[in-house]
Amino acid sequence: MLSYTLVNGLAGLLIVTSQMVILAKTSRDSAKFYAIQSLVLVLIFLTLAKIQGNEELYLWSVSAFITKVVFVPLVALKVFGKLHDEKLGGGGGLPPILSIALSGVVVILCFVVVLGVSLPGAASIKPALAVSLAHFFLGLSCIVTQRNILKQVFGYCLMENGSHLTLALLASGAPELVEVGIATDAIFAVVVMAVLGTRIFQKLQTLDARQLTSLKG
Amino acid sequence: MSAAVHPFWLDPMQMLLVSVGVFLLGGLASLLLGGRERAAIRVSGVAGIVGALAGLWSGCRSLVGPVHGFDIASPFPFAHFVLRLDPFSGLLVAVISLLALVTAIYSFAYVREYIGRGVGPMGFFLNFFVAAMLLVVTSDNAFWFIVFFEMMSLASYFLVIFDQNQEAVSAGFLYFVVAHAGSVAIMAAFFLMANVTGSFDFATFRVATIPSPVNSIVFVLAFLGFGAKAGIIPLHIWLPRAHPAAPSHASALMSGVMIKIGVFGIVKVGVDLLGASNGELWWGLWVLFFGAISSVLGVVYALAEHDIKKLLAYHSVENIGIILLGVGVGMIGLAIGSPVLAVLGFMGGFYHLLNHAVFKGLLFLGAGSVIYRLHTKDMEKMGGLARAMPWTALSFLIGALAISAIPPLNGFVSEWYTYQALFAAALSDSWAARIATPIAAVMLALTGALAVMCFVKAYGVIFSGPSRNPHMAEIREVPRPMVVGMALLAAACVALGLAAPIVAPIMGKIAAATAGVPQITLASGIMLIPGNAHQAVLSTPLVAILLLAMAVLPLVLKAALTGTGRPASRRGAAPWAAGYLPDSHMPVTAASFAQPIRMFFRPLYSMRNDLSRGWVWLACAFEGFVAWARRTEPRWDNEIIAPVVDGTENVGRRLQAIQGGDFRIYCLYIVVALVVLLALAVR
Amino acid sequence: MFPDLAHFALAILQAILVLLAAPLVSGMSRVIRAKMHTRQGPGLLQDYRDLVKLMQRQDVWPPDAGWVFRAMPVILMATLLVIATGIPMFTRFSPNSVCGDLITTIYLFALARFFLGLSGIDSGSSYAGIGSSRELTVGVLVEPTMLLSLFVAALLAGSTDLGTISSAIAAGRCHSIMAAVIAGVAFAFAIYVELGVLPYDMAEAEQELQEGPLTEYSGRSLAILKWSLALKQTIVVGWFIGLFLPFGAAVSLSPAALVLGFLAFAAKLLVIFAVVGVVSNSVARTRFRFMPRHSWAGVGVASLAFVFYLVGL
Repeated sequence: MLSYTLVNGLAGLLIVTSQMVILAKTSRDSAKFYAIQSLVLVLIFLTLAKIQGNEELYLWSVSAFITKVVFVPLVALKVFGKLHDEKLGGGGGLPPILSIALSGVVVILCFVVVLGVSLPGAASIKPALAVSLAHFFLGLSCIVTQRNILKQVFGYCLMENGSHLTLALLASGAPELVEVGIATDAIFAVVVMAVLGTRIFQKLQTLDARQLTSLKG
Repeated sequence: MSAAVHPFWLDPMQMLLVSVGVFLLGGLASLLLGGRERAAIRVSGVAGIVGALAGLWSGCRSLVGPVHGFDIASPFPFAHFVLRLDPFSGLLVAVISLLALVTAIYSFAYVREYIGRGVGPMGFFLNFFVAAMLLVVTSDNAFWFIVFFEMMSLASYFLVIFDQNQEAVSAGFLYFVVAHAGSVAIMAAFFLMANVTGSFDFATFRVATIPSPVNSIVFVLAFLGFGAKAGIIPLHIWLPRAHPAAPSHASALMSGVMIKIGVFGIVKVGVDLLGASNGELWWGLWVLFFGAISSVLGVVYALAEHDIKKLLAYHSVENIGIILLGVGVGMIGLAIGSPVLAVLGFMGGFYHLLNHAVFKGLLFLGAGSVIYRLHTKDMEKMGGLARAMPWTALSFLIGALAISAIPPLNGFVSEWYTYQALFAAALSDSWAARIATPIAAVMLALTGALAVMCFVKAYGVIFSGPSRNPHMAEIREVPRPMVVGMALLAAACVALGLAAPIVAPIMGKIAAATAGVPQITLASGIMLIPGNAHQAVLSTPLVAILLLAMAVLPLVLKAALTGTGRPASRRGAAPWAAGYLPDSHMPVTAASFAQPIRMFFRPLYSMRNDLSRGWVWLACAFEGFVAWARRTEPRWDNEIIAPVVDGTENVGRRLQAIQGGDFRIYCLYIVVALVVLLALAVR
Repeated sequence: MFPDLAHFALAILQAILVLLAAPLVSGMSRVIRAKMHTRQGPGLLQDYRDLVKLMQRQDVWPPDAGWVFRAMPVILMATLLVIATGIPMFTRFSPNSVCGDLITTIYLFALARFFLGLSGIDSGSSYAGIGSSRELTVGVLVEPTMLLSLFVAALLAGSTDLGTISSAIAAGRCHSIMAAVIAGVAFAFAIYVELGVLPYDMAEAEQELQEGPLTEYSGRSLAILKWSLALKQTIVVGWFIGLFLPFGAAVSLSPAALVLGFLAFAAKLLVIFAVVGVVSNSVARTRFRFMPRHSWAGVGVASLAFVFYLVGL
């Protein structure tokens, strides 16, 4: 049962949970789905560790659990819960069918790209690699299409998860500093953006990205 | 000339020539008998039956046998008159003859409707049309192919404009223009091939290796040209106007057979003639794409119609799309080098070709019967006809079930094989095929569901429910020849479905012969197998038996549990209408039944309006061109010829003075001329 | 793979058992609804009593009805029984493999829908006409989702035979896990719509359309028709269980395995119908105009399953 098929299956589950993060109506729900997604990521790390017999990946899974499953969603729920823009409501974005279709197209395109690249020892995890590449674009699409700036934070977190997975699949022997870097990156990014979001809300009483146009020349 | 060892009635080619000859003679006789109309009807009908039987015999004999050829000297050195009966042409000959037979039987009674409006010419054009089609599918030379193709279009044009009202003439003109645009494309394709091979014979095309990209250009041109004849979207605009305008038995022939000649052409050029040049994968994908959109759009547009013949015409577009799905998979199979896929795909397409001819012919004849009695094509004015016309209703129901691909009838079997071909292609190695074929399968499923809805509407609004026609009391069943014609086709629908374990291997052999690959297993006992029994099995006879057997159970339950004392059933007063007395506007009509689909698929309908605007622009551009030509034409006359003529006239007038009229001057002229000549001679 | 006598007997037995169990399942839905409304409810066997009572009543037909209207309940029940013989419910192989092909099953359901729709028009009642129009429209909207999800499952198994798909999913022989899971989710949605319960009971909308195509039926015909609709619900859920939840089903024809398979099937069926009962009694009917949004979402999920299959996730 423990084989690369399971890794690929979990990677597919990752895409499903990303969709749920993008399609969630409020930022609190997004935070909960993000926690679930990070849990799936941790499971992938554990499976990879078991298959490859790689001790590093156990450390990675523990650190990812602490930062991404516990800490970041807690911060998000606490801080974002207090910020609520009534006028914005759900936050717009693409209708569900278009969002799902877009993610399907992105996955296929990334798979085509990954097929063209030849990497030693990574042939059977090419689907998972495609997923991790797709997360970058999925996060980008979330940032671009959502109007609620708090949901855009989660778009950034999705991109981050993607790069974390790529690293785990291809370069799991990297020094611990890299892993610490990625973990703290997530924490710091979310904390900074939470502070920014709170200040924006206090100043302008809105969370709508379309209203934030004072940089317009 | 084929060997004269066999007696002529056993040789398919000779029977084919006999059939063509009988059709031509019958047509001429019908025309010459112009005044005596009942005799003309009878002669045309009998000639049709005899010719069709000969053609049917010829087609069936050549389905599995060797290829037969025929050629005689022709007046043109570049165009040898060669005919060729291979399994695929044999299939088309059989289909044409079957429908011609049924139409001829039907016409004994139906054409009486047209007495006084030119029954003789109708018989002539109809027989001529069938003969031209028989010659088109067996022609083996490009020149004669085009000639017979044009004859076929011309004969059907006269049938379309037969009613001589404004709609019919305008529809005929549109049909004429599109058919000729198609012919131009086909001629261009043949010229390109003749350029490479140096001759117009199909036999040389078949063995020549035409380099790419010429072979792709040839394929696209042939696809567009034959596609206009077949009625693929977006070249279908003539179909919903021309087929309803023609008399119903001619519509049956046009919809049942003539549009198949478009598919025949695509397969002939793409697979047979370009066989030695390497076929590309994108040809099959191109055919698959057009097949998928034709099938979905055809049925979506059919749902919005309440003119019965226009509805059936749009369904022809849909079914051509389904046939092309099978052909597309076959071409993909040839391109990727999978013989199983090629045979499965082509076989699904050819089987559906045969089935569609049968059930579309049946539906058009049924519509013709209804129109014969009610003199209206509008479904909103019909209703409840099943009580007055039971045989027509039953035949139409069988046709409706067959076209909706309901098991165990014939439409289901060919669609099943098409699905299995798409599935096998989805498991193949080519990435493009693996992505495209499941999408095509989903569109085919959507088509099936929409077709069910459309035919429930068609049958229900015409034959079921309360009557909306004021003359209901006078309506009776149609005359016996028409019932016989419809019954034959209905029986064929059922037979082709239940006898699928016998018919499918024959279709497989035709497909294998056309594609030039070995055969595959398509049936075993009473089971149908798509090449590989692990993939799926089906048995239509068993499904039919099970359906009949399981129907016993509810009847037993009804009998066992019924109470006693009063009659088990009675006819009540009126359907419940929330306390109101029902009136004739309450039951569902054709427009209201399909209204949800018109609402949910609105973008597709507005797309049709946009596309037709494009055609309107084209028509305006054409008219502008004609006006310019009309203005330019006299300029040559006025500016160049006229001055020359005037000058010559002037000179002539001046010279007229010499001719004085007085004979004394003429004597003087003679003497002067004599003196001048003598002087010259002496010099 | 033509079914031999033993397989055939199993097929017929399966069809009859499902027929006998159908009113029990619909009775269970009634009891759940009653409990949720804090009523006592009519009891699990009430639907059997209703059927017997209806059989004793007289059959009254509207004046314009033709033979299609009178024959439809029998045709519907016969078609559903034939479908039931082909589905791998108690076993991991299809008892009647010639009817056990996914394309054949879908088109046999189309046969049932054809006559159900036609009888609505044939009765001449406006409620029945609208009901049959909606029934056919919902059939059109849900068809792409159903076929695409089944096609993905079939591609994973390498065959369109229902038994082969069931065995492949049970043995975990798919090279792409999430594709199978998501295809199952999409198919479950399509099955839920086919069940015709809230929020998707547009065709038999009880308050709006006086039960749609059932309006003009009475007596024995109504009994057979109600029985057939309950049978359709049972078969449709059985189809889902047979394909995507085949755990516990029998692998061979031995009596012990078959009994075990039957018990496992009954347990799964009851759990699913309990969930369906709770869900359907908690929501209101979807507005018919907005039905395409739901069906397009279903198509989206099924396409995602297809994408996952292509990529190998």
